[in-house]
Order: sequence, then structure tokens, then C-alpha cells
Amino acid sequence: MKKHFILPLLIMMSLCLGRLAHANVYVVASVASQWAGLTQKDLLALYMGRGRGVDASAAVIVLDLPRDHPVRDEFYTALTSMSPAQVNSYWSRLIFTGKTLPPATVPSEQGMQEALQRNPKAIGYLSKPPTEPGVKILLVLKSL
Amino acid sequence: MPKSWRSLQGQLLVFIALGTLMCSLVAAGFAFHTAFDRSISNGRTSLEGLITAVEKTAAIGAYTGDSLLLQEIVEGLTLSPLSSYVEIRSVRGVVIASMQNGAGVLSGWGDGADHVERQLVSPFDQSEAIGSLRIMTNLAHLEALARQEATALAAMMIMQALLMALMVYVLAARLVSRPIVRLANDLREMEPGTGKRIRLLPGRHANEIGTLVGSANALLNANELALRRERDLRDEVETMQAQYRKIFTASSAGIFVLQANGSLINCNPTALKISGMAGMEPERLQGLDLVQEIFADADGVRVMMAHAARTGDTVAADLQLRTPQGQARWVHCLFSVQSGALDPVATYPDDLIEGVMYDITERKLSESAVLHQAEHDDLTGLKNRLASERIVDRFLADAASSLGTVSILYIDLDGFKQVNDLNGHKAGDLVLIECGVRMRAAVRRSTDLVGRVGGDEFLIALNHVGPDDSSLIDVALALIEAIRRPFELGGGRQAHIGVSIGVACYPQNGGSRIALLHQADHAMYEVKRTGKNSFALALSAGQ
Repeated sequence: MKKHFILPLLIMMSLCLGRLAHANVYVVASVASQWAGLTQKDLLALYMGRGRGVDASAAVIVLDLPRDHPVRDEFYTALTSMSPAQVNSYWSRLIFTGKTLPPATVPSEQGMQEALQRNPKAIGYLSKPPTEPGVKILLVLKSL
Repeated sequence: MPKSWRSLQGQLLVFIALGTLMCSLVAAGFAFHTAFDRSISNGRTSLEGLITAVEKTAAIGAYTGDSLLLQEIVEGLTLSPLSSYVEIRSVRGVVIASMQNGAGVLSGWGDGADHVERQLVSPFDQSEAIGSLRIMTNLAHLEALARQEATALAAMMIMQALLMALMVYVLAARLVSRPIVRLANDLREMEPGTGKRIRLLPGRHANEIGTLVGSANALLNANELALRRERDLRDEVETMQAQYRKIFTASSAGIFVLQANGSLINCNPTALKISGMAGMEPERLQGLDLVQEIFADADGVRVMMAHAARTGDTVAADLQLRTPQGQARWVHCLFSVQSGALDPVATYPDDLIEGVMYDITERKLSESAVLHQAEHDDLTGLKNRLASERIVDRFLADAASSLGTVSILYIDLDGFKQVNDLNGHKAGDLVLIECGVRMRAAVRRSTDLVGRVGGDEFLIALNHVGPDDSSLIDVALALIEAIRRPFELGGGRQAHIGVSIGVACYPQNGGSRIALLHQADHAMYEVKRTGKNSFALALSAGQ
């Protein structure tokens, strides 16, 4: 068990150091998206499962990177000020009931851009400004 | 051990029991309240702890609006017996999840004492309230628990107090009250002057009980010593008393103690024997007027005693006892008076008279025999010349002091020489003896003097008789008559004699014995010369 904790911890520490240079996370969506911009509070509500399914017409597909992806950690840290483990615990409690589901996962940043290009209702995040056409920046999260 | 409640141990038991009862009741009451309050508070704290445990999850549920998760939480909380009802409300007051524990009727939300409430905030923003979690406490259960706990604590307090009291009683009884009770009982059984001592329990020498026992033993020691000393002293006194009594009883001197009025208080057997009362019953002796009873001259003795009392000197005298005729007894008697004032607690407040007497009858008798021989004429038994002159002197001294009179009669027998020559000395002696007898008879008064002052010369002195008294002539005539009668010489023979009497009177014929005798002698010769057998009075002092 201990190894499982120590390894991510080491990785996280190295990432934190690297992030000092590149700390920004870019929240992006399709250029066809209804949103021109987003507040951080709205973004938090979307990614942390608040009110999802309540407003069915405004359904949003929230995309996430895999749990072991370094950008995901940066994103959640910037968004919630919680550690990735805490975020995982948060979702664990909600998954238990099955009523509130976590965001859908795409395998990589590249996959994220492609999914955004295909679905104008989707929303995602990247570690750099989008390289693909048809993807726009809604919000830049500055961590530290 | 006495079972009375008034005994030391009884009192100890009662006081300890009462004190314990009071203390344990107060302590138990206090403990009950404290434990009850604390138990209620503990219950609330437990509920707070439960809320804290689920708070985070509840906040997540409330944040995401996950009513299923919230219902799970509420159900979990109602599993605690401390809760009777649990609910979670949204920030707008809408009940999102709720659950009742048991079938009881809810009384509604009160002032806060009956429930625990926690505000739920957003997991991402502490300032954003997203709802509240409330648990209504199961007061009945909580109070039942609290009461149970408080009762147990109170019972424990009472038990502890009882144990303490028991221990205190046992210790006090063993250390203090039982030794004291034992000491008291031991002391009560001690006789005065006993040789027994109070035993000391082993290992209890150093404390106050030991001191008490020591002091009590010291007192017993002192008591015994004092009693023994007193007993020794009493023995000594008794021995001395016996000795003195022996001396008193066996003394050859008669010892007696009289009251001031002369009545007898005590006397020894010798005193009784001497005074001729040896056979008298003792009862009759008490208060007997001894002076009146035994002394011939009781008044004289009383005068002596009064003198002794007045001067404080010891008075001594030879005294004649009152005895039947012919058995004269004499005692030498010493009187000394003990002043009653010297001894205020004495039985007899008046003066006491101590008397000692020795029987001197023998000595007195021999003394008087010698005296008689010295003063009397062997033949006639009359006073001799020396004694006669002494008596005349006494008569004259008396008369001189009382202006009295004395008559001196000088007598010479006429014809005595012839009787002697004719009939012999024996006959002469008979005549002289008979003359003495007849003269005595003629004089009649025993106080008057009849003496033989020469071979056939006699002297008669009549006290209180002067020349004018008829008794002088009577005596003179009686004398002449008596001597003129014939003297029987035995064998039918008779002798005839006569007397010549010369009389001189004091103070008419002289002031001294010599002068008077001279005058009387002169007058007697005058009678002889003129015819004999007669008497003549001296004429004057001058001749």
C-alpha cells in the first residue's frame, strides 16, 4: 500500500516544481460552443457534479483526462485547491450512490481536442493553448 | 463490653453512622446531579462527534444535491440510539433527507437543548452555506442512560463512604475506644491499695493511651504506698496505745481522770483498788463524783483542785480516804489540771483533772506511831511535857489572833509519894494511869489538853475558857472530886490521894506560856501550902 502513496507523491512533488514555470491550465471548448466564456465557479460546478442533470436542456459533456495524467492534477489543483487524492475521494463518495457521475474521460490532450472538435456541447482542458482548429479558450486557470 | 448507647464505643458508632449517612447522602446527591449532567452533555458530545464524522460527506452530498447519498447519511445517523430524528435541509430550508428513529411522536424543534445542528458549507468554499444537518436527541434514552450512570456513581459513593466509616470505626475502636473502655473497666475493678496494675497492650506504649495507663498505674502506686504507710502508722499507734494501756492498767499508782466538777471519766484498776471500789460495776463508775465518794475531806480536795486549775501547778497532798471506822487509809495524791481551752476538739470542753494516787497508809501509820511516841507519856498515854508546851503555845497563838481566852491548870498530886512508898512503884503507876483516865473524863472536851509534865505533875489547858467562865470552876471541881475518890490497887487495897490545882488565865495572868505556867505553878504552891485538895487562881499578871 505504502508504495502506491509514495510514488504519486514523488511525482506530484516533481510536477509541482515543473509547474512553477508552466502553471496555466486552459479551459477549452468547441468554437461552436454556446459559451463565450466561463467563471471559475461555473466551471467548478460543472466538473464537481453540482446541478448536473437538473437542467437537461443545457446538458454539458464534461471531459476529463485519465486519473494518472499530470495535467489533470494541475487542473484540479488549480480549480478546487484539493489534492488529486481528495478529488478521487470526493468522487468515490458520489459514485457510491450512482446518482452523480464523474466527467467522462478521454485518453490524452490530443484526444481531448478531437472530442471537442466533434462535440460542441463538450468542455475540456489543456495544459497549453489549443493547437487544433475549432477549439477555443473559455478560461485560463492560473494556479499560483 | 457494655452494649449501652451511652458507652464510648456506642457513641462512637452512633456518631460515625450518622456522619456517614449525612455525608454519603450529600455526596451521593451531588454525584448524582453531576453524573447526570455530565452524561447528558456526553450524549450531546457524542452526537456532535457523529455529525463531525459524516459532515464532509454530507457537505459533498448537499453540494452535488445527491439526495441518495444524503439519505444514506441520515439513515446511518439514525442507527445511533441517541438520536430520535435526523434531517438534512438545503440552504433554502427544504428538507432533502430525513429519518425517524423508532415510532415515537416528534415534539418538533425546541430551543436547541433537545437537538444538535451543524451548518453544512461547500467543500470548495468555506463561506458558502449549502444546508444544515440536525439531529434531534432521544432525550428519554439519554436521560435513562444518564440516570443509570448517575445512580451507579451515587451508589459507589455511598459504598465508599460506608467502607470508610467501617474502617474508621474499626480503627477508632481498636486504637482508642476499646483500650479506654478496657482501662475504665480495669480501673473500676481496682480496690484501693491493691497490688494489681493495669496491663498495657503490647505495642501501644508510645501513644496517649500508654501515657494514660502509665499515669493510672502511677496513681495506683502512690495510693498503695500511702495506704501501706498509713497502715504501718496505725499499727505503730496501736502498739503504742497498747503499751500505754498496759502501763495505765498495770501501774502501781492509781490514775484517774475527772471532769472539772469532780465526776469520774476514767480510772485504772489500781485506782479502784486503792480507793476501795475494786468490786464496783463499771457502769456505776461513769460520772461518779469520785471526790465526794472516796476522800474523807472532800471539800478540802475540791479547794486543792481549784487551786491547781487556777495556777496550773501540780498540787500534791497526803489525803485520808473515806473508810469505815477504824481502818484509816491514806493516799498521796497529785492533781494536775489540763486546760480544756488548749484542745478545742476534745470530748470534754471543760478542764480535765488528772490525778495520781499512791497508797501510803502503811507509811502514814508508822509515821503517826512514831509521832505518838514522841508526844505522849508512855505510862499514862497523856501528852508529855514537850507536846503539852507545844499545844499550849498553839492555844495561845489562836487566842492572840482571835481575842480569845485560855485557862492553864497546873496540877500536883497530894500524897502520891506515900502511895508509892507504901505500895510500891507498881501501885504508883496504876494510880498515875487511873489519874490520867479520870482527868480526861473530868475535862470532857477532847480538844482540851491533858498532859503529864512531871512525876506527879499534870497540866491541863482549856481552850476558849477564861476566869469568868463557870466551866473553869466546874472542871476544877470535877478534877478534885475525881482524884479524891479511892484508887483500887488490887487485892482489896485502896489508895487515897488528892490534888492541888493552880490556875492561870490568858490574857489576865500573862501573855506567854512561861509567864502563865509560872503563875499557875505559883498558885498551885499556894494551895499546897494552905491545905491541899483545892484549887486557886493566880491573882494577877504582876506576881
